[in-house]
Amino acid sequence: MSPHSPKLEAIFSAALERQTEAEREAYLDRVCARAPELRERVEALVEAHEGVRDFLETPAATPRPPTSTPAGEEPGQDIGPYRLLERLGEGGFGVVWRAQQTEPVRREVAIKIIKLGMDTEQVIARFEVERQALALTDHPNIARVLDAGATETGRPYFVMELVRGVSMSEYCDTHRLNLRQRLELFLDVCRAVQHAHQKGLIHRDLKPTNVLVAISDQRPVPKVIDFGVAKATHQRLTARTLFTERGQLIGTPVYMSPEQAEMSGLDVDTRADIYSLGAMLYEQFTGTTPFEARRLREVGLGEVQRIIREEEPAPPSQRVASMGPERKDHALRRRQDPAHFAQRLRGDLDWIVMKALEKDRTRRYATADALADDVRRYLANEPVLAGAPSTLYRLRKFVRRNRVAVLAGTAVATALFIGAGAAASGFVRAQREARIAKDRSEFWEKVVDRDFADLQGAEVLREAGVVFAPDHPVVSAILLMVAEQAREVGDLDRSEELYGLAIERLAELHAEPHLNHALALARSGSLLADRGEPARAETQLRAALDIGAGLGDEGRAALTESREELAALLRMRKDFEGAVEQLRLAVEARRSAFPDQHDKLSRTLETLADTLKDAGQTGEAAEAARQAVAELELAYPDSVRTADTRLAYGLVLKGLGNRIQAVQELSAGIAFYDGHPGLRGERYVAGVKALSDLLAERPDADAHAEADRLDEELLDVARRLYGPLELADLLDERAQAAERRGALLGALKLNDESLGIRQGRPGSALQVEQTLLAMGRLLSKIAQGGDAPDEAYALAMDFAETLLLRNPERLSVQRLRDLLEFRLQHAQGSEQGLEAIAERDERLSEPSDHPLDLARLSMAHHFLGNGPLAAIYLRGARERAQAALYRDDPLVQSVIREASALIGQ
Amino acid sequence: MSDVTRILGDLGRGEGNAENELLEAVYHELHQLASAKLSRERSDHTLQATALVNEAWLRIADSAKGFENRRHFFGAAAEAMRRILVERARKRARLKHGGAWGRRDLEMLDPAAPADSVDLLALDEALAKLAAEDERKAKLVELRYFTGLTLVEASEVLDISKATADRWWAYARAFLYDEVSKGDSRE
Repeated sequence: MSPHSPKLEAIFSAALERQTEAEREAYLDRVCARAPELRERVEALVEAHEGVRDFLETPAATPRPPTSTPAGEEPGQDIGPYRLLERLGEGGFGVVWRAQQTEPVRREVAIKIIKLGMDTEQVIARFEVERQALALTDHPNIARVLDAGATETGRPYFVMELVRGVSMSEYCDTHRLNLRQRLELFLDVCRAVQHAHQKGLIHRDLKPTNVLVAISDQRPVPKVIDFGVAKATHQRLTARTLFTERGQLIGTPVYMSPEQAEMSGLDVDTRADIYSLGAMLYEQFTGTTPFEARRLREVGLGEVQRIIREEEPAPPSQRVASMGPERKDHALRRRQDPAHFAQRLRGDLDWIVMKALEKDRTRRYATADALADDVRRYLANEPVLAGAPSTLYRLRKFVRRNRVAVLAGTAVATALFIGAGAAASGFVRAQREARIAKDRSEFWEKVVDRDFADLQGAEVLREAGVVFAPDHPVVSAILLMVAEQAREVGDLDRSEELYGLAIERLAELHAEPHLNHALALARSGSLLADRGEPARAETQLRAALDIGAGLGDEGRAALTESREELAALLRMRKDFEGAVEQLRLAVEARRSAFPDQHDKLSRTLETLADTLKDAGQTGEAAEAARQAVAELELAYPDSVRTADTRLAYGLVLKGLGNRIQAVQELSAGIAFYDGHPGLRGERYVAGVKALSDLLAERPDADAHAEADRLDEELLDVARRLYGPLELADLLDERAQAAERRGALLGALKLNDESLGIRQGRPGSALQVEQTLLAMGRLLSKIAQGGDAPDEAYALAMDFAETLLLRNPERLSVQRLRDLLEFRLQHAQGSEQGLEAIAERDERLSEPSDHPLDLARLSMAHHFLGNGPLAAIYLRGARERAQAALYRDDPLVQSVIREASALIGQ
Repeated sequence: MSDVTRILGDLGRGEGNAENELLEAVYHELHQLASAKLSRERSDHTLQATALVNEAWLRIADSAKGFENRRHFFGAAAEAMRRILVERARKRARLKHGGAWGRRDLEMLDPAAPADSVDLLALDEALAKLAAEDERKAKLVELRYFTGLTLVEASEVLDISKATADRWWAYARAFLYDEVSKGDSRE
């Protein structure tokens, strides 16, 4: 738009650099001597610049941060709207205070004032980036971060929900929690972290002192603090930030993931928190961190990094076993038998912790939920997923253990690492036929140790060609291995290329159907599916399965997972019939080849059930779900998984209209949780909801009472698990259910609770409105029938009055209140009360002409013996009720009918 | 999200029309995310551009890591977010004049509701003018204002130095402020 653009910006910037008006004038005189237009433009921009203040500084839709805050870092002093009360503690980065907030609400908060030495502007800017995500974070196990700002002296501070509690380690040890109790607390922490991750927040500094345990309803409730703070105050790990001048370690590298210790600082994701959770769990089990703080304190920064990056900590069981006399004390603090404590940790718990602590984050649990699920599985005596290490991991261990044998290379390796069952037979064959060369063995080890993991296909071929003959069959195995490695590190292009090369060679090598060829195609298909190329993935998977079909049972068994992947693709493109067909074949293959893998078979059956549901074949879906339950019942009769699957089965049955059986299954699933209240989660809530709804459909009062009880139980769980807003949604939903089964007062109570949660929360206006409408409807239903017990009217009137206090302008509620009052006085036979009603109405300066009010007054006068007056009011009511506005109003019409019958007109 | 991941891959290989495709895919994703949030979740929060973009990024960050991808993504997300917000603002302005609006509509359409906020429609026009003059400066504003990146982060996305970013930012803000307030005084 401006002919001077490039120059314009340069002159503008240069002009801004001139400090005084005069200097600026002189400068512009000089450069714009012959371009008055340009000069005018520059001057306009400079003027605009002086007026911009904070224009665009706050990103779209971000609330504005507080700008200035007076100083004061002694008790009694004010920082913004906060008055410092008591110094709670001091950490590496700052001092924490208990403070009183006065505006806009009066409450106590915790304030963390960051020590000097940080760039305040940057800290606050970084916090701003997180602010939106923090605002979305709403979880009972997360202490809310409320605000951030700068003190007058320019130190950044953070305001948080005040948690009255002690650190998690302290709590566990002083209360001598046993292993199960510790794990249950840990589950809550995982849930909180998961919630935050879903909102886009990474904690970055999870450690036991950042988890406080408060007591609420006599239950320990862990609260994660400092979410968003670590990110904002995040500095790169350097000698300066890690150590004080006296060389004391101030950071907490013992809980820090290798990628954080790397200092690159660029690429930390949610899995860094998973590592920290693992380190915390390690400490729960062993009383020490994976790397001891004492040791890290004694070495330099470089060594600290090396240790975190490279050293494998001993699994918890070994760490405990190697303890000296303190072991006894340590075990007793966990109420464990010292003699068997290490044994208890060995296996599942070791696996879980070590998986969370993997150096390579792609091998860690992908989410906090996944970690929590494994802990849950452990608590429920199910096999943990961590117990099944990755193919590469298995292969590496195998190579280490069987150095000699693996040297043979060839087909064994291929079959092996792809995880085919054919390994054993090939292994024997290989031992027989192989003459072993040392360099071949070393080459293999290098492949397995990822020495070639960065190579392109052509380079792999060259390297392998040096040691093996270029057309040696093992070369394709090497290609596949490197392809797997590339895939694990996320270099998918290269992985795809390597698969391609391997498939090419295998196709040439094996004119007849060969398992390795099929498996390579299958793996490449799975990669393509991951890459979001469903069409190509489908082609590869089908090609793999075609080859597999020529291989008989062995092929079918080895390709079962590929069949399941194909089914998933088909389901995604809504070819439900095709997906069902594949899944049925997969089930068949699993039943014949892996009859002992009940867990996997049941998962396939569950998928089949879901797919059948998608396809609208609910009956068949129920059958598949039944089989899934049966399968689990065999292996893990008393476990979360079985209970959850049962609940899912119950839900399908409910959808099918098979109520009786649905009630049975749902009840059975819920019964498990009665014995394990700590494990109750989403599935449980869904199951209880369904059961309660089913019971409500029954006509008998017992069933309704049971539905009431279930809802209470469900809400008890939800009050603990849910954030306030989720809870409010659930309360409204259950209120509707209660209304449907006629429990009107119960529904009112639920609505009232949700209203209490939502009111005053910004942005809740719409839901509040809906809840109010629902309450109005309930009140009108209660008022409509003239035959409820006194208490019902009294209670309903209370609610109406509360509603009016909150929303005095709502005339409709006012009317309901008056009608309920009339019902109550009448039910109690109180003539005085009725008189008071009639008088009050007459004294109104603007008497209501609403048909409901008129009908009510007519009934009141009727009961007071004022026949003529009653008749006049009734006539008025009937006339007014003809208006279009009221013709469809059931309450108005029913009350008028009632009054007419009463007065005999 | 697999679309975005795939397109990021294409971009990495320098293939085809990936730039535009990416914008469409990211737009689509953000739009869906926004609508889903508004319909499924309690409408208790206003929709925050930054949070939305971060959530979208987090969804694909696993399969498309790396700084290059992040750069492409945020570049596209900034523009997509601008489009979404401006569309909503436009629709809202229309409804305001046109009458038939539900309360729900209003909440849905007004993601960026702080009362003192910038007039998005005027800003959008001004940004178009700035882009005609210098596209990258307009992009800087988009990144800062519509995805909430800090100046340093935005400078990384644009691959310019912090000092340059500072200069551009000062210039762009003055330019836009000038444009927007000119519009104000005309009304």
